Amino acid sequence: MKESFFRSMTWLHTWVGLLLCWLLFLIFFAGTISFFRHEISLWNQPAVHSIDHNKQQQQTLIESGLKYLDRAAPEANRWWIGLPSNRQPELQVSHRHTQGEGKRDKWIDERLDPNTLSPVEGLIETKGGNFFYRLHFDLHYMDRKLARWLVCFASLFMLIALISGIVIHKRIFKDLFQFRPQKGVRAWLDAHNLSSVLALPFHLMITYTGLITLIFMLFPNPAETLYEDGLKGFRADFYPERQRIDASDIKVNYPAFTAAFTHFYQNWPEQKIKRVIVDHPSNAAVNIKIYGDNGTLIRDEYPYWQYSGTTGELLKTARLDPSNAEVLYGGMIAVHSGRLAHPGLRWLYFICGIAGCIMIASGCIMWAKRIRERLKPTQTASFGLKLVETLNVATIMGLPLATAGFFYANRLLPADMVARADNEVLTFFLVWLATALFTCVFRDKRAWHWLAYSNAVVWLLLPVCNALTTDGNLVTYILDGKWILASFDLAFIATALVFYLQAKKLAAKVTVNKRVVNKSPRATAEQRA
Amino acid sequence: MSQADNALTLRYRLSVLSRFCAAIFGGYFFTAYSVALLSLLIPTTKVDAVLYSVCASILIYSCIFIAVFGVRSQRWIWSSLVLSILGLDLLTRYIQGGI
Repeated sequence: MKESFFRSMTWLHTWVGLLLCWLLFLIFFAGTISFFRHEISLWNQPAVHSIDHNKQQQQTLIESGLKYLDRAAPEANRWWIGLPSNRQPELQVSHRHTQGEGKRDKWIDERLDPNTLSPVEGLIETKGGNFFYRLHFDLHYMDRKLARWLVCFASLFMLIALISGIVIHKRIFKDLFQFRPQKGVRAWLDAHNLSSVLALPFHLMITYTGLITLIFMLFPNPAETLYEDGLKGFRADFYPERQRIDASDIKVNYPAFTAAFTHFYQNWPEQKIKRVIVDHPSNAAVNIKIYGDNGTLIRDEYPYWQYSGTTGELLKTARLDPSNAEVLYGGMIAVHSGRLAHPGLRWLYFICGIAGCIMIASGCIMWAKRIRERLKPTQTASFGLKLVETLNVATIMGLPLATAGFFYANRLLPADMVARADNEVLTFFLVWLATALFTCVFRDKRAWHWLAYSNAVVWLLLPVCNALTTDGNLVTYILDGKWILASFDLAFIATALVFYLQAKKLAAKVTVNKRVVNKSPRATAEQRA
Repeated sequence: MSQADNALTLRYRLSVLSRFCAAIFGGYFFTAYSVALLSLLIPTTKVDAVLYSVCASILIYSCIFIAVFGVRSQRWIWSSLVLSILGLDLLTRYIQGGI
């Protein structure tokens, strides 16, 4: 649309980058945190901190889980057993109950200590890492479908910004080794290039595969073309395990678990199990569903075995030998969610995600800086510029502060509070709102400066708050070898340090500005405007 | 961009709006119709054909999006989008035996 393709792409990069960058920052920020989704759920639930590493055999755990459910919820229409892993130490047992006509079934979740097989005591109500996981594609306080469409469009813009960014980046290799701090906008440009180029494969991968996770909402057309009943027909083909099984009137005492599991262990002795689901455990429609663990395989959906609960006979299997298309599609989703990652790779995911956040943040800061530099001393900033500047501070500094608020709320809200989990989330949004209001009042450098200091203080005090409100602290975590919990404290301190360095850097700038400002009264007025 | 600052006329604004519409909506429908056709053309099982086509959809969408901003003539963009969508739809119906 401009004189040359190159200039068109520069224009496009600027505008698709800017238009939804704050939403994108939120998505990247929450998404990056949710690489540690289960770890956060663990941190948020101090009662499970004391659970020792699971020493039980998988077979024993499943048997005990089934026996527990038979005692606790014989009338449930579904039992659900999630086996412990390195990331989730507890044995999860859930049961679902029919609520009568027109009402949704009700789930009750329980957690057992895998070593003692008794329920974990002192659990608190919290959303844990699931809050950030949901936030990064469902947003919050809004219609889920609308939110997902918004997220899709933001991601599409991100992808376009990445592609056009590559096109306009003539010296992609040279810039890798170039960082010129202390040079105003040039330094921001270098930060932008560095964070983009270093983790470029990650950015492209995560954006593309992120869109793929919601692809059937975006493009249901192929399924609608090939199947008469559209997505429903496709899903029935693709997810045989999700087919609904109707209850029967004939009662059954205890399902044929032994026969089913004996057959399974004999034929697939090496297979680790992720979860076991029993449909209609109390009547003749009973079905036993076994989901295999994918471990570090690049697969998303689990291999699946379904046994009859009355005879113990194998009824169907799925994805034991996935086709190339399934490997492609499932692989894309698997590399997006990163469930396959061991701690090392998981940290790499996290660091690349942070690089993505820096890329977006530096991009929107640079836009505002360039426009402001171009202003003549007599001009006042336009509404658009002020809006961008305010949103920049409110989002970039507000989200980390709100996240810290969420962690504090988890530790400090009373354990028996009504709607406790919702109040944790509310704290997150209230802190963010407060930051936004603060930013509206102090829109210049001071807002950055003060918020950086607040962030540094708040993050530094988190390990202290944790030590005072729970039984453990950084020292005991390290002595006991509880590395997940120790990493939390260390990560909090590291975050505080980064914000402290930023605050110090900004403090230097604010003083310089003050000196310049004192010399010319008109510029002072401009600074405040 | 400097040119844009100098001439933020109504005409310019409208042309930007039109381009964004062409890229977002035109690109969307073009992709939707082309993956529908693609799923019919891939010679494999129904599930696999659907999976391959949806995996390609974002690639198609982003190419169209870039192209819309890369091409100079707006008239060309809109007419080729509309015509190709019609063509894709007709071809899909023809293969399905609807015509």
